[in-house]
Formats: sequence, C-alpha cells, structure tokens
Amino acid sequence: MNADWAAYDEPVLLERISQSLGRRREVLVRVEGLRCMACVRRLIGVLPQVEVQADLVSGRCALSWDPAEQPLSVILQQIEASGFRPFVLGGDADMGAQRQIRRAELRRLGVALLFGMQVMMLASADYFGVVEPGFDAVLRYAQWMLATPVALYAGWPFLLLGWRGLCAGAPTMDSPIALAITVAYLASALHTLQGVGAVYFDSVVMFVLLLSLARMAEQRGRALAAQRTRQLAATMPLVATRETAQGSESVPASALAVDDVLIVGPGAAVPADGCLQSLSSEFDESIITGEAEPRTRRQDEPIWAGSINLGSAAVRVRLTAVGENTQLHGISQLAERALKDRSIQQLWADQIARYFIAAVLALAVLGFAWQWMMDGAAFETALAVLVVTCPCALSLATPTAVAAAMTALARHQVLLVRGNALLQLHQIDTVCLDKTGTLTSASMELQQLEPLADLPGAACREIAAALEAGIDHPVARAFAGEGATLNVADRSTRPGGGVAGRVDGDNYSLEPASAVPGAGSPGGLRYFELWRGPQRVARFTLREQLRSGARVAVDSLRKLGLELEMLSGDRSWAAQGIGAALGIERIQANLRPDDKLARVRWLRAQGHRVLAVGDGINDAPLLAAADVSVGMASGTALAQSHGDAILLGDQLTGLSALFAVAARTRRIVKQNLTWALLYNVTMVPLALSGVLTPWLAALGMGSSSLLVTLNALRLLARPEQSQPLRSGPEVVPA
Amino acid sequence: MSSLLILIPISLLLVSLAAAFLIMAVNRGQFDDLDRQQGRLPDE
Repeated sequence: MNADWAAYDEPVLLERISQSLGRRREVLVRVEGLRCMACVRRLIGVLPQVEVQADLVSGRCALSWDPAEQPLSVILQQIEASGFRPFVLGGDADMGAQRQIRRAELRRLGVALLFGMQVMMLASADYFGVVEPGFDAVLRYAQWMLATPVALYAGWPFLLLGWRGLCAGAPTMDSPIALAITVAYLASALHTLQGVGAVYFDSVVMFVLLLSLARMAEQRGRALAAQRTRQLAATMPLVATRETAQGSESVPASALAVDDVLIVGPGAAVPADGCLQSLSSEFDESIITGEAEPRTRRQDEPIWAGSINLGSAAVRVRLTAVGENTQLHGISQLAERALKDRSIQQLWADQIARYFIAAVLALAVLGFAWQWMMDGAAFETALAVLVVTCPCALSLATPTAVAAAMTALARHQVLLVRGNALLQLHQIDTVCLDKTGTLTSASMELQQLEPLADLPGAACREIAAALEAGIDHPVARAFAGEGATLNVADRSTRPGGGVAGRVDGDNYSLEPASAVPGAGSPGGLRYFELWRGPQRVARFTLREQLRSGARVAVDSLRKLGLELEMLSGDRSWAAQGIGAALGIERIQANLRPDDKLARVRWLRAQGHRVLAVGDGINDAPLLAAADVSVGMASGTALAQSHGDAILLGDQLTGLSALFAVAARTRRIVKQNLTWALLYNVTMVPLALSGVLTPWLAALGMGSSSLLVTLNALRLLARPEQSQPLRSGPEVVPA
Repeated sequence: MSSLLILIPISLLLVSLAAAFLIMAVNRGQFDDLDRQQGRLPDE
C-alpha cells in the first residue's frame, strides 16, 4: 500500500528514527512476515549491503547501512519487493543504549564470577587453617589482586550510586552496600600490607556477586516488558500521504499541520486527529477506546489518531489536531500523571535506608569507642560490626525472592514488571476487570446458521467466509478458516458492517440484521443475513466469546474472597450479558477512560485496595491508578507498560497463578527477613563485645546470604497443586 | 607448599585470560539474543 518510501530519506526524520554508528546508521524495523530462519536468510540475501540483525520472537530487525551507498527508502523498497512488509519503529534511540547496558551487566557479572571463585578458593585455605606459616602473605596478596577487579569493576554501580547518595546526604539502599564494600576492601588491603589482622576479600566478592545476580534478574524482567511496549510504535505511522493541488505527496508525520488533507489507504493508520471528508468508512479505534468492535464513521465525523481504516477504499481526512494535541497523546499523558501518584512508596524505602545506615554507623562508632576504653582491638570490633550489620542478607531477602518468583511466574505465562507488586497483592480486596479484550476475546463465534432458501448450510457458510476473507474484524474472525477455495469478485464493504461481492457469477451480500421478534434479550448476540441478489438465503447468529479460562479465573478470584467489579466502556446490555455469564454482580457500563480512573480512585478513597485487569490504551490510566495492575499481552501495547504484571498466554488463569505465587513469595520474604533480622540482632552484641572476629563475621554473613538465597530458590519448585490451566472456549448463554 | 609460588601466578594469568575472552564474546554480541538460536535449522 505504501509504495512511496522517499519521505524516510528526509534528514530530519532520519535523524529521529535511526542512530549513527560512525559512517553507518542503524534503524529498527518491524518486518511483517518474518517467521523462520529461512525468511531471515532471504532477507539478508536481498539486502547485500546491509547488516541485518533479526529477532524472530518480536519480528524486529536492526538494519545498519551506509547512507552514502544507498538511501533508506531503497532498502525499505527492497524489503517490500521481496514480499515482507516493513514498519519503521520510530523514536527508539534508546534501543542501542539498552543493549550496551545489558552487555555491561554481563561483563560485570562474568568478572565477579570468575575472579570471585578464585578468591573463595584461596580464602578456603584460611577457613580450614591449612596454610603453612610464611605462605599466609602470598595467599593474601593473591586474594587482593583477584578481589580488586571484583570490587572496583563489578561492584562499581553499587559504589557509585551508594557513595553519591551518601555524599548528597540522602543514602539509598546502595549506601550501606557501598560502605561495606569500601570499608571491608580498604581494611583488608591495609591488613595485607601490614601483615597482621584478618582479610575480608571473600566477603567482598560474594557480596558483589550475589547482589549483581539479583539485580540482573530484576533488570531482565523489566527490559522484556519494555520491548513489548515498543510494538506500539509500529502502529503509529511516521509517514503520511498529503493531498496537494497536483495530486499527492508523501511527507513525514511530524511535518503535518492542521487543515492538511490526508489520504489514508485501506489498512493504514491515521497519524493525527481529523474529520472524515469521504462518505463513510469503518475504523478500528481499539487503540483509543480499547473496544475491538470497529466503528463506522461518516462524513464530517471525527477520526482519532491511531485508528486504522478498515474499509476497502482510501479515505480523505482533514486534520484538526496534530502531535501533542491529539486524543491519543492526551490519554497517554493521563496515564503518566496517574503513574506518578505512586512514587511515595519509593520515598519511604529511602527514608528507612537513611535510619538504617545511621544506626549502623552509630553502632560501629560505639563498638570502636567501647573497645578503645577497654583496651581491646577497637578497629577489629568496628569492622566486625560493619560486616555483621552489613545488610547483605537483609537486602537480598526481598530481591532474590522476587527474582525467583519472576521465573516461577514465567512458567505460568505471567510476566512480572514491577517486583514490589507481588508483595502488595495480599492487601488487595477488590478486583476491577475490563470487559472487551479482557473478559471476552477479540473474535466472535458463529453460534447458529439457519438456511432460508435452497442453498445448504455448509455452502452458505463458505460463501460468507469467502466474502469476509482478509478482513480484520471480530465478525470476520468468526468465519475464518473456511471458503479458501472460493473466489470473490468486486468485493466491497458497506457501511454498518456489511460485505458484498460476486461468487460463481451470483451477487451475494452479507448484511447485519436486527434481532428476530420475540427472541428475548440480545445478551452478546449479533445477527447477520446472507442475501443472493434480492433473496435472503441464510441467517447467522454470532455471539461474543468469553476469553478461554475466564470463568475459571473469575471463580478462583471469588474463592480468594475478592470483590469483583466489571468496568466497561461498552453499552450496558452487552456488559450485563457477560457479567451474568461470569456471575459478576457489580457492573459499571458506559464508562469513558477518565470515568474508570475516577471509579478506581473512589474505591481507593473508600479504603479498598484495588487490582485492575485490563487492556487497551483507555485502560492505561485505570491500570496506573490501581494498587496493583495486570495487563493482557494481546491488548494494545501501551497498556502493558502500565501493568505491574502482564498475562502473556492470553489466558486469564494466569491471575490465580499470580495470587498463588505472590502468597508463597510473601511467605518466603517474611522468613528471609526474619532470619536476616534475627541474625543481625544476635550477632551485633557478639561483635560489639569483641568475641566475633571480622572473618567469623564475614563467614557468618556469607552463609546467611546463601541461606536466604537458597530459601528464595524454593519458589522455583513446581507448585504441588495442579489446577486446570486450560479450558475450552466458553459462550454467553442467551 | 612452595609449588603455590608458581601455581598462583599461573591461576592469576588463566583467570585473566578467561575474563578477557568472556568480555570479548560479550562485546561481539554473542549473548545479546539467547532466544534466536533455538529457531535455527540444523544445517545452518
């Protein structure tokens, strides 16, 4: 559809969508149709001068090319000519930065692991007392050399952030870590030079290694979620076709102005808000409204940025708002504002860290003074206190459990984005569920077929399927999979959801029909009729389909004693039908995005703790305002970025897995924290009294951390209960 | 135990080499994408 790629060569646009790699540039492209390694090989084959890095999972390619050799438009044209469809992903300059961060993390972890193992090996000689006199110093100098890259290179992020916090007078959780690493390292180095006293290089390396591992696991989960969010960029066009006096021209979307008239082809997205100039067409507005059902827009009606033209012909749109003034931008802004409400908890964590570090320092000074007066080993005591109070086990207690829980949840197809959400889940008493796209799936189901003329049912269905073939619409998906053998000529779509075309020489049309008189409540039902010329030949009944596992999931949530509430932007009767099928009594229908936000705010103001489940951009404010939020992976990408957890498998049963894993995580975090606190509380007096030597303190700290980590790993064990994870599609009873 | 005087420097050298190789591999992007390889066909 988009044969003109020339606008991508515009220097301003090029600067925005690609990044410079010396002489070459790199751009991120989502290539539709890229399914296997053979496809990738073919793509590499048609682009000899381009370096292609393809990721099959997300269908994205990083293309690096030399702008002097060939312009980007030629490359895109070549990709399209070879049967793929390229979508340039814009505004994604941090992609390369992400990769650099990940690589740096890996390098640091590798160094900590390799050198740390050697330090531990040499230190074990000390533990077992097998060192002959005189070799002591050799082993210590060797440990010093080996521990230096671990402390200074692998531990650099902790040192940097921790000391920066300390210097700014606002210590973070990294501050005690940085302090412990620094003091233990410097004291060990000093003792090595002096040849007396203990060395704690082993504690330094284990500390850095364990913390790096925990942090990397957390980081990876977050990066995965961010990657999925980027797919949103693919739906917003970067280039638009503008109508001019001579015909049309292709311009960058950023250059559009109000009152420009655009030509939006079938299947293309509208880049800015406008009003329709053509007679009528159907638009997929799910990115704005979250409701999958297409909407018919007539002349002079508003068209929102991000909606997709589902009609069979190009339409003309006169722009009314561009860029930051569009509805789409406004909704994302709303989501961001709501998200900011939550940062208070982070402040709390930092407050606690400040008191903690103050207490640790006070204790160390106290121990030093005490032993000084008693003529004991004052420095040893102060160090023992610092090592023993080192919040190692304490700071590992939660992150290791959350990291293990992330892996455990991934098995249930749940992606955890914000680890803390797991620990807040037990407070939840109300669950707000979105309807369309969350409780129901995006396609309708063919429930009944009544042949009304000479044509048998199977033939009617085939003809209907052929007419609907290739249309992306919940109704069309109900017929998908049939009629592949029939050819349709002169296919055209009619306003209101009808389709017409010629099959085997006869003119057919499939039109929406009203309910049969006396058919009762239309709960989730839609009717369509197949016409051959003026004759009605069949009548189809379609029904909205509950997402598979929706009932199991809703029942399990109710069993947990949670209040369920359905929030829907849909008309009231449609919401009632779905609510009745699932046994949800509290139903709020006809809600706009800000109504949903207000509802969640109100519930929270009443003292409820709210879990929101939704998809679509209109749910993003809802998700951000709730205490804990869950997004659906099949929904619009932005909603996912606001979910604390994301259900990847399209299965709502992930929700009960989330609650189950959260309960186990909470139990383990409690055990870990209890152990770490008890350990510190009992060991501090021992260290203060000078009974505990620093190396014993370090050994204790190391095993304490190990215990906490191993306890967290218990979360990875397969859960004992085997609940039904899968169940067939459910339908709404009429 | 005097063999340690040789063995420790050797271990220092070896572990530095291993770290250098690892850093090289990371920089060349060997670990950038661990999901792609499972999609490869045996003849590639």
